[in-house]
Amino acid sequence: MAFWAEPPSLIWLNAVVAGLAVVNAAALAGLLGHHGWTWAVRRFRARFYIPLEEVTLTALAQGADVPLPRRPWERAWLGEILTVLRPVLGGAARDRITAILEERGYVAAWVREAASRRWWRRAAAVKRLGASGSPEALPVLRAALSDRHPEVRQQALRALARLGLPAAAEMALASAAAIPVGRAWLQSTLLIIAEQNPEVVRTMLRRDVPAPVVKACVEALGAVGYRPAEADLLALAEDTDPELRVSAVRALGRLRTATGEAVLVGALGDSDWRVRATAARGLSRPINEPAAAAALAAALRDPVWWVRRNAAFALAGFSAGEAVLVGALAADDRFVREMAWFALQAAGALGRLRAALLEAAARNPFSDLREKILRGVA
Amino acid sequence: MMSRAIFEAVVLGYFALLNLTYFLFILHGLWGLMRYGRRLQVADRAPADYRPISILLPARNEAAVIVDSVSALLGLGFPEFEVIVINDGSTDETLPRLQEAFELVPMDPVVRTDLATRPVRQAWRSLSHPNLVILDKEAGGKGDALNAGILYAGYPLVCTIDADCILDGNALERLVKPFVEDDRTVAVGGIVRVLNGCSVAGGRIGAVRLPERPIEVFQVLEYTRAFLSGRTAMSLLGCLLLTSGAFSLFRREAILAVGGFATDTMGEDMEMTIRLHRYFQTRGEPYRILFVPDPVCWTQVPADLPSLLRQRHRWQRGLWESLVRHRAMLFKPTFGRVGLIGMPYFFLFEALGPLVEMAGYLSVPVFALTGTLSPEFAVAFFTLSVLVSALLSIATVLLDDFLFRRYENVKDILRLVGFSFIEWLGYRQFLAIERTVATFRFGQGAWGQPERRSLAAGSDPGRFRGVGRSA
Repeated sequence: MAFWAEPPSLIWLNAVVAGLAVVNAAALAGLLGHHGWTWAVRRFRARFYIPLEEVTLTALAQGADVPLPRRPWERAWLGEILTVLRPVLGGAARDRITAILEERGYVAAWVREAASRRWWRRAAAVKRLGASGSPEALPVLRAALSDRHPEVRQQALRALARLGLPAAAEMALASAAAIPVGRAWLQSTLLIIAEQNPEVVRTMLRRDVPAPVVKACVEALGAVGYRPAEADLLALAEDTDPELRVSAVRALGRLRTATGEAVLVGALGDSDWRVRATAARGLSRPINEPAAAAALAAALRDPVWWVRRNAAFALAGFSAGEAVLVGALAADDRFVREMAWFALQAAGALGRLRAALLEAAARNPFSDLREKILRGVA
Repeated sequence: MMSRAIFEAVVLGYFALLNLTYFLFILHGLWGLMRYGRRLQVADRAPADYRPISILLPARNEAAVIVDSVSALLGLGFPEFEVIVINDGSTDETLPRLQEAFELVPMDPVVRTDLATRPVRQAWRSLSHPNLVILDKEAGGKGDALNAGILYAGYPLVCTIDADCILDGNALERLVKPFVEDDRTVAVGGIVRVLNGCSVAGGRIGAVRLPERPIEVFQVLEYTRAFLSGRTAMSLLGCLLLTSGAFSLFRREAILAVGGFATDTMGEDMEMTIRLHRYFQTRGEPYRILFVPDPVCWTQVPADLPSLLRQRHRWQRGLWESLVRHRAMLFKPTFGRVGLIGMPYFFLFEALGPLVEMAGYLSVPVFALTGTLSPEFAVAFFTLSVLVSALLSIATVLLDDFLFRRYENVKDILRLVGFSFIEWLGYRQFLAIERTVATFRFGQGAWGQPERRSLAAGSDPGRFRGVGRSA
């Protein structure tokens, strides 16, 4: 056998070449066809979708009836547009959108779609049902929590949170600990629930739930500033898990209560630098300014630069802290004095503190900063 | 006669096996990309869907691009990140330009000593951008620079990026998603696309166009093929051996566990990926190393042949270094799919490929001189090669257009298709020669000395000569 010199037969090779040429031509036609089709679809959507969105939004804003489009493709788009608009509009408009979606059969269609054999169709339907706010969606979403595809289960969890019904929120929370979803999914889902019903989230802290769920609850309660949860957060700030302490300290910083603030001051001495850094950041608008200023001044000597940085920025947030920062302009640690200067600049305090800064510059032993202060104040 | 028959059977068999593998990759990649696309369609972006990231930007004599590059990174809309620029013994104006642009002040020396690196002369912190750190260290190569950056990194995820790259606005958000979704993820690579020809304004990509020069267009084809078929398929199979050093995200603890980036190789990115596989496979711990096709990093590619050849020379030597170093994994079932699919693929098709290709080319004149060449067969075989190669390219361009549609202008699509037919008329041969030379010289050399042009001049293909490792 010697193909180069005496090929057994060129017929088979030529046949393969000819076949490949046809396949190449077909692939090229497919490529150009797809490119052109996509271009046409985009033009088509730009022509019809945006005007439909504008008409719908105007009608909802004016409290008028949302017109039913005549073209079939616009009817399909209307459901999509309404579910996008519902979360961003106020209470009355939300209820109207829910009513429209139910009356015009969109919810029923999505309920049917939620039983599709294709997981992505089920996921999309579940997502829209969650955005619809319709009680009719509740049993479907409950069933979707045990869907065979993880993406659908995740979507169902968030859809239940988005539905805005107390029963749905309870159901989502009960499932949160059971369904293996990513931490970020969990966190954002709990945030949605906490915005509507923080008390339900608080009750989760008292149950025996996994640490990621507790952490997500703490973050959510902190994000919405739910003060009745303070006692629970204070307890968690003493937890042995440093990540949980970070979350609790962050949440307490957002609550802005006197007791919480005392815990933040104490957390500046925590063994974990992440807790100290978070506590420093949380003291930027303190109730007891002198105590916070003293604690943050000590934090400017922390061995971890991130803590020192956060302390400097926090001090720039209140008047007693500004005085500490002016003093820190002469600190031995160059990073601290530069950061103090930067924090004062960023807080827009240079004009207000002009006299104190000029005095500090006159006494400042570091020529580089002295010049910088004089230039900055001028 | 027998030896010749064996030779012909090896070359033809190799050709058939290689192209069959490529087609299987494309089909597998198509399936994976479709699945990914569907997930994106139903994906729900939420504010908490991220993890903070430390971006490591090693730079050596990058004065021409460094300020633009760092400014572009600082302007990313990602919620929480820091940028650590590691000036690896630059002899040009890299550090002074950074000092001038970002108000740098000295900060404390590093306290962590998990990795041994060349000494850091001074660490700097920016007053204008609190999330910017500059490390000025003695030259030690890219791996050493990355290791120094890892010691300073304040966040659990570290992203490596080249100085001549620009990220899409949502690139970090997309790249971090696998880490958010699954705690077993240890490394994720994004897609690298060719910046040449595109317009850049304010550190962002404007119009995406094909470059003018043929050599750059060929590279567009290569990058599209490599990322959308090869890497996607390897990622789906769980044996991805290369997350691009130009744009990858790693779990810092995992990097520390394998001893950091290798400092004695030209392909520190591949070496790191293989080390991670080896580490976790040996311990039997669950892990994921993935390629994600839509976080885009735009990079300048060489615009002239000498620069391109130097780049490919380095890549080929880096590939051989990693394969030789981890030869114990080759064909070993204990390393799962990495040992049975990933390593053999890279060894047989990527490392040995140029040698077989060169043997095929050389055999033509040899047989012609000895009067044993069938011209009809040679022409038919050459045509077959061109058509197979073109089909692979058209399929990946179609895939790209179907899912991402980066090139809006139909002329660009037609040019890409046209170039896929003429790739075999010189371009492939030049690369095969250089890679063959590199194969016999692996184990030598150090991190290259790239010459850069301003990123803002991305649409001008005329002056750039760069050799940054990208794909």
